[in-house]
Amino acid sequence: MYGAKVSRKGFDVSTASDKQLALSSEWPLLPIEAEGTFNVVAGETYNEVIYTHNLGYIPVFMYWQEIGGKRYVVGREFFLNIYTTTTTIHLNDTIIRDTATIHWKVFRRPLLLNYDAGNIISTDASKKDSGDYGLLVSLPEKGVSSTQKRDFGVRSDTRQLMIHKTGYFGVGTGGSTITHNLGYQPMYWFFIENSYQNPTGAYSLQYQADDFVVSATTTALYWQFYGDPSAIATAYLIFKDPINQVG
Amino acid sequence: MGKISVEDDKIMMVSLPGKDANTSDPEDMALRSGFDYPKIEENLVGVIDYTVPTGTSTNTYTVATITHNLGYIPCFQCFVQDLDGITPSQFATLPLSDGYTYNYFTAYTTTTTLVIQYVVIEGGWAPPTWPGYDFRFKYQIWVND
Repeated sequence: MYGAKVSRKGFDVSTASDKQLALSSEWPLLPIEAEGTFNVVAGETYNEVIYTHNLGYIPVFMYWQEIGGKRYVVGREFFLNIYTTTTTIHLNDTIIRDTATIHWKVFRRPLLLNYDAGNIISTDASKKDSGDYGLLVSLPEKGVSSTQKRDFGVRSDTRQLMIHKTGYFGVGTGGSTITHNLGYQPMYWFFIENSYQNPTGAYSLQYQADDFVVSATTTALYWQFYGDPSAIATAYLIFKDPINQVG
Repeated sequence: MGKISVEDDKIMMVSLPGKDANTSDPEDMALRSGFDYPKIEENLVGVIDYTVPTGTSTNTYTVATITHNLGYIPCFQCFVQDLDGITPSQFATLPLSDGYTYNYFTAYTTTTTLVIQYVVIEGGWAPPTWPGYDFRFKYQIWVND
């Protein structure tokens, strides 16, 4: 038995629950492979590659939309139709509503991967700050003594997005139950292959409206697509972090 | 910008169970120097409960303003729980529209704050569908810009 784990500030690493850790060798984080920006103009139509990643698999990605100095997560009101293939990130959207800068990140993580980290310690430890803690991993060409936290790849005095479970469902699956057994309702990301709109095999972030609903209990996620699922496939990530408490 | 990972940086490598740290791909690592990761400020994580005002018309309502003072516009994420929904365990990521009447929740960051909003676009002909409903928001402000 070997490995490494680092607790978040204020928690004893030997008793900290899984979600009270900053990282563990038992499960992955989300390494950022690439990031960048792409400018769009209101009233225009786009159908073009934003970035070529050439990873050979469909990667997890996320984006934000900055409009006049305000950065919206995904979008102000609606999602943009941005999708990934095994080689590119693509914007295919008609009549863009807002002149904006899209900020995107591609993660070094296959989206279509069945993975389950399991639960190691589920009971939270009491918080007590001994002052004796810390792991700092600076980014290339940045000093470990930097006072800017964004100069670090990982810091144990910040939280990381720790992956608990990932998976996917094939075309035609209109809904399912995903057991997680975390003991709390967890944060998640959902992606969708929508061949009605995008090329087969391309995945976009799932916009949650009345036709796609996610509910959660302390043991499972339930998702349901209320449209015709004959051209729809779904992929998800569940994080070791509660969705409705600070945790 | 583009690729930001530095794969020949092998100063610190922690592999996942059953994987060799010396030979594994970044996808099989728990931690690897040369990569940046999403990082969330401990004091910039929170939960906010909000009741949608009744009788709302076209307007933008501030659910919450959280000060971060990072000096740059950070990434973030925000989830919402419909406490009065068909099932109180129903969640969504923002932005969230009701899908019918152009009422939606949204959130944005500036160089100093995170703002969560409730927006009613067409209150004159399409009254809000959530008057008096209770929602819970979970936000995380990242260190990353």
